[in-house]
Amino acid sequence: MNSEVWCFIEPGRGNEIATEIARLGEQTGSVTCGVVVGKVGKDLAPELGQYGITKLYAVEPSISNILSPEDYAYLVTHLIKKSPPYVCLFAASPLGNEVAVRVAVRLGAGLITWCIDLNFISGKLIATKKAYDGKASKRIAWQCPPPYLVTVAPEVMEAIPAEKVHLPVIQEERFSLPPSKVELVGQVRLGWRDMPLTEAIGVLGVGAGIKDSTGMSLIKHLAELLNMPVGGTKRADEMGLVPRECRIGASGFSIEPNVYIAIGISGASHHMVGTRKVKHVVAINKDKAAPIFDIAELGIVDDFNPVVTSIIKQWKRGTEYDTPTENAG
Amino acid sequence: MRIIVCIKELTDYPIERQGTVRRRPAGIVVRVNPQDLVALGEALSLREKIGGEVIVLSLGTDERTLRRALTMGADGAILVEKNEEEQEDWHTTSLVLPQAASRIGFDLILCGTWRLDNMDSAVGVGIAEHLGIAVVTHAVKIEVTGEDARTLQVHKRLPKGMREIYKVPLPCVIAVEEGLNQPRYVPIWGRCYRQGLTKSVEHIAISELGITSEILSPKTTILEVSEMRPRTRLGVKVSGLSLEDKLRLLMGEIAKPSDKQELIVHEPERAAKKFLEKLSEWHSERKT
Repeated sequence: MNSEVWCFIEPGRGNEIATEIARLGEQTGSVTCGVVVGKVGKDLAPELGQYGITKLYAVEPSISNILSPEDYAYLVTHLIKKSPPYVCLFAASPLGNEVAVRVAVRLGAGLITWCIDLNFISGKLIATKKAYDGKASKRIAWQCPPPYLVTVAPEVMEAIPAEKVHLPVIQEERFSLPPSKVELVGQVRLGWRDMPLTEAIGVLGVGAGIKDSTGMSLIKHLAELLNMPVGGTKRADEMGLVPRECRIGASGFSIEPNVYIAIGISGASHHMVGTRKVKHVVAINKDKAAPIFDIAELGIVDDFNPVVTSIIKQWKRGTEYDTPTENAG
Repeated sequence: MRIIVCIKELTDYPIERQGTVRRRPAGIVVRVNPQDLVALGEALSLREKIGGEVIVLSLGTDERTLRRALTMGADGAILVEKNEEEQEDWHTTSLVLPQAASRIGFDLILCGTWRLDNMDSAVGVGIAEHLGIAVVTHAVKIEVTGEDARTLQVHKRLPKGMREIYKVPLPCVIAVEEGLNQPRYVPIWGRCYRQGLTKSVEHIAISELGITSEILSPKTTILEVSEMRPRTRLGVKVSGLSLEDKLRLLMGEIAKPSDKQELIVHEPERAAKKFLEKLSEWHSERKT
């Protein structure tokens, strides 16, 4: 096949979907293309090239403020109408999903959402998706002519650099937009008190090492500075340090933040199953033999009190570092 | 204000599992999609606040889902009948429901964002797109604003603790999520429940809505439903790991290669300094 396969590059997170389209392009033998909307499009080209994109459609809309999903759908629909691809992939994020559905309705094309696998088997594209609350999987094929639209579940996407790196060919397009039906009033980021543990970028975890409420108030002070929600182990919950809703582990939440700061946590396996997807772990614990130090990237063997006090003091002095508020942007 | 709530019946898991005894026949309707009940709860509390009526609408086979909604306090219920053999995907649902909705007339359509059986989140947007009206998905808070109560302010949940606030004029579609309200508890001795029992469900055939089977033919076809299999994942390249660590990585004991481990013992000042350095390093790494 010598047609094109496309992916819709969402602002800020294109590498994962580029990896997916590169994998599919290899199977079908087609040109792997990305669709970028907005002014930043051309600057993204070298980075997307590393993940296997060989052609980039840089769409520039007539207005420059924040675009709604409807606007994206309008642009993508017109682009597809101009030169239909074989497949167009979207990420199954709130934005990607809405854009995909709108495009599918406007084009009358077939869309399969939340795919966990996509394969090109003997000339036919077959998608796999979860069903029945994740208990079963369905294999689905299209009954209508291409373009085939797909949204890919975020949990299966991973950005892996391609072996062959190209600098993508850039094709520029311009469209004028109709007025949007919804009005974006504002964006807010929740503070550490309201932030759900499962959504946070950084999480503080407390364990039985924080013996009492005086220790806890110190931790809360740190949480406020770092703007991270506080979760806890089962024991911390039973000691009344954190509420039941904030338990992390087998009997609570599974979290996947960028940074997890485990204070006074030994790292029992029931707790650690909930923190498997954490990227960076910092552990503060008195006991050097605690299993949490096996997975911690930074281990601090000490009582938490002087360490946290020192962190707070140094943070307030502040200017030596680019003091990042983890959940603030 | 007339609010239509679209609810979806869920059928039982269709696969025979080895070593288990099935207590009921496959394909039987077992419950209502949980997020749709959140939508119904929100519709009822909006009615309590600003008045109007709540009508539940479903494309399905079983009347009991709608009866449940009636006993929770809905004013009317309409079932668009579907053949049990017919394959149904979001394309057909979002084609049929708008036709039925525009026949009833509405100011607001509420539905769940996420459908548990098909595991997709398409129908809300599909309905809005077919009707040509505004839509906000993943709603976790709905406020009625404007002098004549014809504008909604809706908070949309995005990943990583972000919320977007939209202003939407009526008529519109709002697809809701859990966390919008507390589930309603309806006591069976209450007036609401008993009044619900006396109401009736209106049945409509798809053909009555002027939809021919050609338009309705599904765009996708299910080849096979099987028990969950893990996807063939792309490999992870690891370098600089000892054999023991590689084994532990395979066993899933460590999440990622931990070749950069650092341990600081009994030096709070230095530990704090290192901690802040690392934090800022990881923070900037996320940005790039």
